[in-house]
Amino acid sequence: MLDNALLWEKVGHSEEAMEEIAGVHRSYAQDVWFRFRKRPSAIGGLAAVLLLLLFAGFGPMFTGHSYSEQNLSFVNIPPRFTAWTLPGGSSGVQEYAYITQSLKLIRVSGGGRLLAAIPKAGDDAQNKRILFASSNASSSNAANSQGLVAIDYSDKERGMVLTDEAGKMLPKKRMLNKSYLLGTDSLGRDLLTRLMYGARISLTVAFVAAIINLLVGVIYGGISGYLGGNADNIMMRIVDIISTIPLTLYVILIMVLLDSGFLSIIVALSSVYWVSMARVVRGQILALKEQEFVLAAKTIGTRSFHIITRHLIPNALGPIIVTATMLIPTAIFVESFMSFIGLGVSAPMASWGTMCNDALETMKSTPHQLFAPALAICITMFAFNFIGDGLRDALDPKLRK
Amino acid sequence: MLEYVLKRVATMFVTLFAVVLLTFILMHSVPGGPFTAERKLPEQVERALIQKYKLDDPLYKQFFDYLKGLARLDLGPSFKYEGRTVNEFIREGFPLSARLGLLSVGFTLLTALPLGILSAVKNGKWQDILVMFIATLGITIPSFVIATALMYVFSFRLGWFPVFGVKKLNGYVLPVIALSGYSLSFVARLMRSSLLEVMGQDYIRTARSKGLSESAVIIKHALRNALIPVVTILGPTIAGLITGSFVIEKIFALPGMGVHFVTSIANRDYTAIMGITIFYATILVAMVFLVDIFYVMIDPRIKLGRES
Amino acid sequence: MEKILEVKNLSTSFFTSQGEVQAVRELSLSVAKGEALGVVGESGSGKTVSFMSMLGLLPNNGRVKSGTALFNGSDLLGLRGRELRAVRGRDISMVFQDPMSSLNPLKTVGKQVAEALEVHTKLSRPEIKNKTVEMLKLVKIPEAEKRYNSWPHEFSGGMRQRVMIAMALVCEPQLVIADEPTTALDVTIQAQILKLLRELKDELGSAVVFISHDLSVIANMCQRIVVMYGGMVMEEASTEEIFSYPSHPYTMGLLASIPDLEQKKDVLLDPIPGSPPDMLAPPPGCPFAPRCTRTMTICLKELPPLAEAAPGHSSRCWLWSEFAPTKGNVFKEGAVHVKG
Ligand SMILES: Nc1ncnc2c1ncn2[C@@H]1O[C@H](COP(=O)(O)OP(=O)(O)OP(=O)(O)O)[C@@H](O)[C@H]1O
Ligand code: SF4
Ligand SMILES: [Mg+2]
Repeated sequence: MLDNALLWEKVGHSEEAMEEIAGVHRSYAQDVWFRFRKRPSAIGGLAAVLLLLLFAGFGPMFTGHSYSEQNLSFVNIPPRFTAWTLPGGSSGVQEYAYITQSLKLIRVSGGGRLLAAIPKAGDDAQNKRILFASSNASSSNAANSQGLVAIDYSDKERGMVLTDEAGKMLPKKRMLNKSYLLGTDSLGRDLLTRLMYGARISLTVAFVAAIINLLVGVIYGGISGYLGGNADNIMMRIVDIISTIPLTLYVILIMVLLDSGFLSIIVALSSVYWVSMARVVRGQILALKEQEFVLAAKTIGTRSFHIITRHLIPNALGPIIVTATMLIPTAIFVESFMSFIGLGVSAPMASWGTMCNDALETMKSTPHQLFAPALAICITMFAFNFIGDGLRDALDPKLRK
Repeated sequence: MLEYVLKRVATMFVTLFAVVLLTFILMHSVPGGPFTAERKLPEQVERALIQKYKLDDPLYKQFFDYLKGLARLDLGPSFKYEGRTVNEFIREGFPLSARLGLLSVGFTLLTALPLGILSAVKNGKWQDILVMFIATLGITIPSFVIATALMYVFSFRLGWFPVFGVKKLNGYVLPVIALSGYSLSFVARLMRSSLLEVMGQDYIRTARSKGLSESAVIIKHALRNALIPVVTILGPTIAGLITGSFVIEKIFALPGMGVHFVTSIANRDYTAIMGITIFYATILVAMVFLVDIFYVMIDPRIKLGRES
Repeated sequence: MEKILEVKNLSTSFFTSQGEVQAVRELSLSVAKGEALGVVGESGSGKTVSFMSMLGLLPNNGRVKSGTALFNGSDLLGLRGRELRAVRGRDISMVFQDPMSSLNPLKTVGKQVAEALEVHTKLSRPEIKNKTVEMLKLVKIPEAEKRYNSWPHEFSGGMRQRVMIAMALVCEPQLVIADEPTTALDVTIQAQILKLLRELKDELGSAVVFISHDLSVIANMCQRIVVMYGGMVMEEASTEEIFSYPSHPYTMGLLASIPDLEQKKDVLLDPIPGSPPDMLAPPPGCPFAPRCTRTMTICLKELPPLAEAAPGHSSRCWLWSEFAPTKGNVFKEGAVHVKG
């Protein structure tokens, strides 16, 4: 086999052939995407953020409620509740009733839709009962029109139950709230819709703040790094001083000064968080300057373009992109934090932080009002952190061969 | 060493001065003055107040008066509560916050360092994955969410701990955990990555090549090196724990500094906001200073009298 | 000659997120008692990894896939934990490439040298200290007693490398692996360290493996030379043979890139055009093929076997195949010109 003369012919090699033998080359962006894609958490984060954007952007179109519309008959309703079967469903449509925390009765359809409050028919304090006229308004059937039901709160152990007129407990079942998928808040507003609007606010604040911080940081850090020398020294001393104090304190001061509101929180966030970005940018500029100097000294000619575009710029950009990505969860966190201590957007607008704050007092009786926004904050924080981590690894020039 | 300390003290005062100046300017640029912010006061009452707080003095004079006060450790009177001083607020609130903070510092260090070390030593194993999972939770979930979740589960549902207050000693448990959540996770992660990084260093290979056992390599060579970056962030972390409890205090209804701060914010009590901010900043700067000194003492590479 | 180290078919890979990096492939070599063996090759050719594999000092993602490394008859690759640690530092010790990073910055140099004795001997504390100071004197550290308590950062690169050498020799090992001990130092210091190593080797009678990417450095240290490329042995022969009858195009490239004395050093930044192969996906044929001036079709297809160019002189090149039209003649005629 080895005696095939063709095998022993000399071959020359062109540049490309050498490159090809030495290994395939991907472009920098492809490379980054390739590495990013390999991390399930990063891809998960990205998917979550995309879903979140859809949720915030288009969600409110489908809920059928507005974020400020109040319905005082449907206050503090949870997403899942116990429904009691109303007697006398002779017209064929079985209806149910839900007992609210304020001891009102709400008529519920078999599918879990909230229909209307059932009018109160009287108190029976002696027997610890509250009577309601349960007659079905829609099917004004004479035989049923007298139907009374009662909330019986006589037995502490058993809790509140719904009985018929005679005091017999009615059958019950667990139902999902179809009218308000996540329930309502203490003013009868739809939590899901408010959550979506909250997402708009939180995300807008986060993105705008991140972009402004990016710009300010790039300009400040860029000037500092570019000028170098004394100017650089002074500018960095200022950054040092600013970052000695927890930035939340500044945000609080600025919020106090500007009064709470959507714009103020953006201004407040934008006026302090650029310092980390400025540091990063300055560091990268200094590194670039050094490398340019080396390049100029070596005068590699045509290859320098290749080096600049494929190595220097991407290497410098990496940490900046990662820092910018990480600004987003920071902004979301600070915004919710501010809202939580009462310095966020003002009612009826809602951010996730204000929703948490509103729900805090009634946490024991209506935990769903707290869980929904808290979970939303957590998911968003996770998503952006995972993206940031993924980007950091994907962009890390150390791993790049 | 002395030179270094003096230099650091000087920078400390420069920083504090900048903080005072900044807070002063911010709090004095409220449009329309502090008394017109909410409801309108009768003319003569407002005038009297302005006189009392010398608000019609030129700004620089007010600032110097304020600085003079600070030099006497006097943060001035409260704007909103007649006859009360900001110092009183701090005296009332700070002991509880400090107790909470110091407990959290202890808790953080006692758990985060071992967990970080464990995680690094078991790199890639289930222990590492578990610890890092929890640490990721702790870093990403805001403290107020942690606090409310803990309260819901352990106080409301399980009834293990009191919902509010620290009358009983176990009242501290949930606030301390909630307060430490972030720093604990952060320190554990830092400890892990720092130890992993150190374990990849050439001098660790040298130690191994001498025939040291793996545990001797970690204890005698890796740990001390790995602790250095952890020490550098300890200053801000400790200060953050001592001063950063306002949300936790609000949730668990603990009458600490944070509550005074949040109330002052809600009341737009400008002198109180200013005073407490400066107080917080002082603690922070002092902590960073102490840790820096400590850092110089444990790292022989930092020569005396010369900065890093 | 009695062999103290005999390595056969050692293969080591790193498992990274991008795939398997085949850092060492089917490496075989041996070291005789008291001998000085040179291992030469460009950066990334697998020199360090080979010897780290034998001492079990690979980073976590590295694994020895196959092979044996007999040290005094027992297989180092089969040793675990305590047995392996007993060998490290006592029987085989290492001097590393970069003295700046190879010393623990938070321990005094004396303690770091003494540590080897603490682990391997039962000497008392004062005895250990005495021996350490003696060793520091032997590697010509001035005022050794005083310097015992110095921190590494107070030492220059050359001094640190002396400390490293003291550390490696303090237990009088049978084999010292010196991994590019002078690469990170400037030229005058290099010469001093080399001289020191030569003297100590003669004095203590240890065998030495001297790793370098510079043939000229190895030339006056070692009796025999192994040339590595792409994780493989490319050529092996006595030092004289390598210099007078190089039998592999890669070796010839290395020889051609030794700077002449009159020439300034930085003229030859990139002596052999091209770069070493990507060990993630090593070429199927000869690893040197993309850069070789004599590449034939078969070189791109099949890995050349290790052929005997002369007695005791092997070369991994297809030009030595009996089917090759020229069968080794090219080398004798000096027809291989690496440059040009
Ligand atoms: N931890 C690691 N993970 C992945 N690949 C590695 C690792 N360590 C080394 N390698 C790869 O193994 C190959 C051989 O490396 P090695 O350090 O042995 O080279 P060397 O010949 O000692 O070079 P130098 O002269 O630079 O010291 C290189 O291609 C390197 O990229
Ligand atoms: S085998 Fe072919 S490519 Fe490899 S060194 Fe020999 S001639 Fe060159
Ligand atoms: Mg090496």
